[in-house]
Amino acid sequence: MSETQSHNMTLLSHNDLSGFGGVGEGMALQVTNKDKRILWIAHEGPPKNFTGVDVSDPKNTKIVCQTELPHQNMRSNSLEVTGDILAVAYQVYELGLEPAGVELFDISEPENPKSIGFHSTAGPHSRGVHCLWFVDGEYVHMASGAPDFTPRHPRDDQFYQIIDVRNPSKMEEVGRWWYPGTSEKDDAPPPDRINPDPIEELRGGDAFRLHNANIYPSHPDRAYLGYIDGGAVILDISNKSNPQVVSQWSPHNPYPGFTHTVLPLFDRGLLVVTDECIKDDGEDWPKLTWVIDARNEKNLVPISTLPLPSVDEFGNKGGRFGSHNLHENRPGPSFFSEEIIIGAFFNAGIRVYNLKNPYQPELVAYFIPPGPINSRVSTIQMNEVYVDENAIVYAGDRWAGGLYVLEMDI
Amino acid sequence: MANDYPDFSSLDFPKTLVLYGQCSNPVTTFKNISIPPGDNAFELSRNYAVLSPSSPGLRFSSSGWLEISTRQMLNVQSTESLFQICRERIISRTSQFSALLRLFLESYFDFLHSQIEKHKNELEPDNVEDEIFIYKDWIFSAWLPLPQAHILLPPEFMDNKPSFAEIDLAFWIEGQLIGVIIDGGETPIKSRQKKLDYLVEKHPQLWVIKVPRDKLEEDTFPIDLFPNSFSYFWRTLTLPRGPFTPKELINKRWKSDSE
Repeated sequence: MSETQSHNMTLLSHNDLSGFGGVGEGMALQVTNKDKRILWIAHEGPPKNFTGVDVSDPKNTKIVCQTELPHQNMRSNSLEVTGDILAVAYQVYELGLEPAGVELFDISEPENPKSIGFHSTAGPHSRGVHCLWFVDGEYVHMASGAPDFTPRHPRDDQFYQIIDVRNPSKMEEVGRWWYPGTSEKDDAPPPDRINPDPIEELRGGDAFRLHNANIYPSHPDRAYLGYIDGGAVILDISNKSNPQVVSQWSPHNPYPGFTHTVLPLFDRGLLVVTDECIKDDGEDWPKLTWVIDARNEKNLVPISTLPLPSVDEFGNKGGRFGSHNLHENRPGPSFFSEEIIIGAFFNAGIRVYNLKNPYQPELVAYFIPPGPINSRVSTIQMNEVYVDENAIVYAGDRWAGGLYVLEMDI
Repeated sequence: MANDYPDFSSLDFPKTLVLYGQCSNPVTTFKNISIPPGDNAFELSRNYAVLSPSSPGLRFSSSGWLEISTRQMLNVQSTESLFQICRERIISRTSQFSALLRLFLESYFDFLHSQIEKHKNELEPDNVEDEIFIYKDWIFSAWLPLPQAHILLPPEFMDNKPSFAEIDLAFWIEGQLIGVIIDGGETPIKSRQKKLDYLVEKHPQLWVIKVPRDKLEEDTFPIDLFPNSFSYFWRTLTLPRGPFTPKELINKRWKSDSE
């Protein structure tokens, strides 16, 4: 694919992040006390940790800060910003390594982030934190292993943890929940594997572990979990020390697994649920984005999926093709809509849907740039997306392309 | 432009077309509507209204919006049960996935009930035993909500192609179009905002009311945002009537109310 394909979206600028253009699953916007707008980006893998990009002028973005990981056998991949506090996830590639956990930074001076706290989740069966959510300035909700948790299956190590970070120098776990049957101490039997990879492959595809946990200040008693092969889980976290399952929904088996994000649309009684594509060349197709009727949160009913282009075409272009991250309507300087859904779909680019009629979602815009140079695949691999309150779209390529700043015309 | 394109900005025959209810494709719906001609064109149906500046206010008692079978009518035993049917019909014309709009409507219906009770002394007939109506019947004189309203913009907005501005709910009260927009905190969509801005700027009878989310969550209808005449919907009428008054009776006995 050598040319940009687009509809109702325009490229405002592109920044290759100084040649370290592998963007992970963390993008968050800070508006500083000097009214500068800094987009913080977690890198997908080593050597870089995170990068701060001044996007005050979306047509002329500038790196203000780029940091290194402590070593090469780890990644950050996920971060969040609330006010002037940056929370960064650390995941290691081998069990037991360190540092694994979450680090907080004071970014009131974006050019000079200062570490203000670290919470370790390292352990003999832990890879640390894969993904975190931090929007209220008080609690980090994360997918992490723990020193005191032994999973029955090595890939089921990361579960839901709630960390009180109000005192950054003394962060404290206040609650946890894992999929029944995944801990060696559980009475429940282990869950049936979905398309199992060899057990020794720590990064194998099948897993009953948490990916995203979304919790919104407007509904603080509910956690919306994408639990990989465990599907979508809604927890009652009114008592954080004892989360309770409200309901679960999973299409997996026959669908190929990997529930990633559960985005609640509260005023509409809907959920948008993505299944992440994790294999190249359409090998794990179909990786869909589901629209769920959640008006009765105890009885979740799928009513449609977001239309995607044909796997015959996109499954053969190279790289991954299918669903992944969404713009999640997070609090702060963020676009908020329960009708317009914006997602990153790897080689299908950034795609924008109108969900006004949730039974028939409609594609209203998309942007597919050419594959970046120095990428491990020939196509763009849009990995993450964030949309600010001015409807400017920030999108990141997984391997090398860096940051694409886009405008929608919808 | 042909006379069958309702144009609220027309100097000769201004007309407002409001499509309402569950309408997935307003342009297609518009093509299937036959617009009444003339300078006093007025029509109300189950999914649209054509309004001229002199058109009577749209009330629950207005003919055309409610379709009900004879069997259902035979089962109606009381004013309350008839109004419940009206209530359910309006709600059914909103998306099941519009919680805020439904909250507004439920709040409005509750307000109407409380308003009737509050003004019972004023509404009760002088001779209760001899009259055929009771004070509760006045509820059908309340203003009819048109939920999920699409309002046709003048042809010059988009090169003579039909285009619609969207508002959450519309009321037509004696020559005034009230547009209600429920503010759920959504980031405005450029194309929708452009149409809405045009409507607000150009429509000569439009009054826009924005209802913030926290107002709805107070559990009382935000009547303070509405004009005074909205609350006292009975005061320009002499007698109440239900939604099914025969047309002959309307013409003979109640003609003066619509003038």
